[in-house]
Amino acid sequence: MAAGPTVFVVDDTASVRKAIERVLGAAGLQVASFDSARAFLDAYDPASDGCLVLDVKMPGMDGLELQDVLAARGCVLPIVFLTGHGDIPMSVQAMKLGAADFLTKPIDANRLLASIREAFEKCRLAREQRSARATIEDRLASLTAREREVLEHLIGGKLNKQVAFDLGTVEKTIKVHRARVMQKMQVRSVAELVRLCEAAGVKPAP
Amino acid sequence: MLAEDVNSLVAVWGAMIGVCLAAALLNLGLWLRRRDRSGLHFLLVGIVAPAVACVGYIEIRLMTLQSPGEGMMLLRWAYPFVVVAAVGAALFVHVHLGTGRLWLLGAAVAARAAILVANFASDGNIHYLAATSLHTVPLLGARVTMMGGLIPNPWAALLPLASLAFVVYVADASARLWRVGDANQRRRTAVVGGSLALTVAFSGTVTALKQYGILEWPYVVTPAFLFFVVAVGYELAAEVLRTAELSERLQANQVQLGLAERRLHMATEAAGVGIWEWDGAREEFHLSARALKVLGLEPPETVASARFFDRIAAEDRAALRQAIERVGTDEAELNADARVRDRDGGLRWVTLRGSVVRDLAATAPPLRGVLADVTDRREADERLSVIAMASPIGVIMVKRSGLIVFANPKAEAVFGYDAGELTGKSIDLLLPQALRDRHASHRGAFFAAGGVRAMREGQDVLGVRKDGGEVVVDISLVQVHLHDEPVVLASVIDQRWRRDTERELARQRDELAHLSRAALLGELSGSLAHELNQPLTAILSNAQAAQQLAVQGRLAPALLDEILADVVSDTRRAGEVIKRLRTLLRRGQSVMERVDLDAIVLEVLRLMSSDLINRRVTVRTEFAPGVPAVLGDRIQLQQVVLNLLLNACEAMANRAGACEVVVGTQVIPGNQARLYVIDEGPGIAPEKLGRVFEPFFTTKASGLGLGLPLCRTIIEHHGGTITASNNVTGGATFEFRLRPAPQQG
Repeated sequence: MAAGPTVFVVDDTASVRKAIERVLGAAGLQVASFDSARAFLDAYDPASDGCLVLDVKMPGMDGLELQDVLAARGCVLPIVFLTGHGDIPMSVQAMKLGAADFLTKPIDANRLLASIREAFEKCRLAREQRSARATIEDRLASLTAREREVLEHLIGGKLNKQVAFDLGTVEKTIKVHRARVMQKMQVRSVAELVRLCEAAGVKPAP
Repeated sequence: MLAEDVNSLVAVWGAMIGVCLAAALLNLGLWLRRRDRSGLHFLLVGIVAPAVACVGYIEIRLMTLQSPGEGMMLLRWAYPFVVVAAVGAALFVHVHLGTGRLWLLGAAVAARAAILVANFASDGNIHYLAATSLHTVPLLGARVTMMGGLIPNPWAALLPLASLAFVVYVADASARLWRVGDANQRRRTAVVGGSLALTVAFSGTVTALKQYGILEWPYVVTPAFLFFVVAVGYELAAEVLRTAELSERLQANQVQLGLAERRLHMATEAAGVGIWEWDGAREEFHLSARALKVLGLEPPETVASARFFDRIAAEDRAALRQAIERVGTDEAELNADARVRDRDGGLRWVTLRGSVVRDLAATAPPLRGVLADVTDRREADERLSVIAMASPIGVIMVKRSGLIVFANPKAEAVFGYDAGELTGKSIDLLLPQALRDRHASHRGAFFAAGGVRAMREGQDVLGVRKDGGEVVVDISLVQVHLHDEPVVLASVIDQRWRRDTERELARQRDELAHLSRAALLGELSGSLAHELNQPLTAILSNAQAAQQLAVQGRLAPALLDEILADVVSDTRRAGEVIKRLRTLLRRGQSVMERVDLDAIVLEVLRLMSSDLINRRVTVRTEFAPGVPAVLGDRIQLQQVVLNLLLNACEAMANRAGACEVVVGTQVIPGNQARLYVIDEGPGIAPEKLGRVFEPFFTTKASGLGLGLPLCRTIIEHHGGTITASNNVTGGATFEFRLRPAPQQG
């Protein structure tokens, strides 16, 4: 995919697709459009950035189903939903699942552009978040199994002595592991370690 | 002893005397049993007959005289008896024939009285002054004594005069009765008059001949009188016989009368009719047992007027009394109805009929008649009357002559007449001018044929209203009999009213169809909004893109053309959606035209496309070739197809994943068009299969249950049928069949 954020438009109605392409093109945005969810998925590149402008009602796979599929694949593209009529339960469900916005047709171009800009920003943040997390995960991956165990105990707020007891070794050994963990994770305090682990989703040992 | 061999004569005279005495005894006996004027003739015969017997005795003595002096004395004493017999006979004629002239009778009696005086005043007797010798003459084989040397009495000339007066009297009386009398009276005249004529003729002739010495005969009067006695005996016996006959006849009559009375009683009882008689002079009523019962009275049968009228309800009392009294004086017929209060306090209707019965003996003629409880009949009459009066169908009763005997209010209203105005008028009044001439012969034919028929079946009949306007009616005729006279009963239904109703029904059906379409479109509103929003979205976006590009100065003319072309196309698309909606929402009368069912299906699918996507239902169409066009209302048929498709979708709403509905058309035997909708839902429970087209029958949680009934109404209005069935492979099939439209041209 081309560099820079792209607006992916998915709508089964050709005339609508074409008109949206035009209005987004006029705003200087990069647009790629698809006539069905399936067509989009076929062409989908996880690395691409930007946002998805998605019609809720489509034959075959509809907008909400596509949202599910993309979420399962860890897609970072925020979704701006377009709908014929604002069905509240449907929009609530979509928003819960992380929809960027929910616009009712016919759509005002400024409103759509604003939503798309927000979505781009959201995408950028998500990318950043994702790269930060990737760094932490790289560091975590460098830990040995023993060090990982010690880390999980540490972020549980346990003292060296307790950790040594739990792991069936002496306090001195734990102290060595601890130092290595701190070093490998590039943190200076346990508090910092806890924040990183939280971001990475590492659970403390029970 | 001068006389010889007189024994046989004595025997004959004895017999005659016996006859006379027997007659006397018999008649006196009869007179004793009837001692009034009607028995007087018995008394007279009872007097005449012994007098004749006495004369007979004297005659025997005269035939066996010992001396002339004895004969003179016997003749003298014979005469009073003759007078008694003669006067008695005259009186008998007077009594028996009843036509004698009194002065003639008086003359005859006076002559006899004068002779009697002369008889005793003279020396000797009325016949002879003296007799000097005795000799014998032969009589009936014997020799009897006769006086000789006789000196005639000059007064004897009176004797024929007396006889003549008598004969004249009897002849006159007989003649008068003969002239005026009937057969019986003539016979009586003949017997009595005839016998007396014989008597007088015999005795008068014999006496005169002897008087002047022409005939030498003894004094013989008895046989002459015997004619009279025998005749009278015969007469009286005949009378007795007649009386016996009369009494027999009377008895028979009485038996007949008894039978007649019993029959009358049975008849009146069976008919529930009581007999009454009013004696105005005595202010009394005589009532039969049934009459008493009807009036709620107890025996005896004679009831005072006041008690009778007490039984009549107060409101009818005076009128009934008046009616009865008027009939009593006018001798007209009584025909009155009155109410009688019964024991339970209810009112019963009683009808009284009667007339004056002229009886020769009665001075104030009584009023007689019958009465009966007619409550049931009157109630039935009233019920019938109420029915006829309240009937929503006009009823007119017409005689053969065309005379209207009866017309109920509805009939009068249909033809614009006031109450009672039609009765007595001619039926021609209600017919259009063109029909009037022929109607009499139509009527005659119908009366001759009898039976029932509708006039010009299947066609509207024109009638003429009072105001001259025409009215369209449906008339059925039936011939009935009223009082043994054939009349025609015509039922008149105002067609205008029926057509109004039909129009109203059609209007309601169309209105319901319209409302139902609106409801259907409500169900589709979500997807219809989508249908509209898509082009609007495209239009808006295109316009804003053009604006943007124009602002940036990047709007190439070619691009603008392209954008405008798209806007035009999308605007059209939106317009079409709206047009389809407006078509379906249009209200109004159904319009029948040639319709292609395939086109109907496609139109509906276009309308439903978004909805079908929403419902994840795909529709497969199966259009067989050669399906005939049908005659129908495009919108209503679209409505039916829409309804069936929506039902099919809803039947599959609970199914996970994609579902398919098959909608198809085909031609079936009879060149009918069949449209079917097959779903993959759960089908219809067998027990509910027969009821799905019933109103308010629904299997859906939300649904009025009016969709399918309306489909049926529409299809049946199109002359088709609609059915539902379950598929062997699951799901249900709804289908309707319509006749092909008539060939064009």
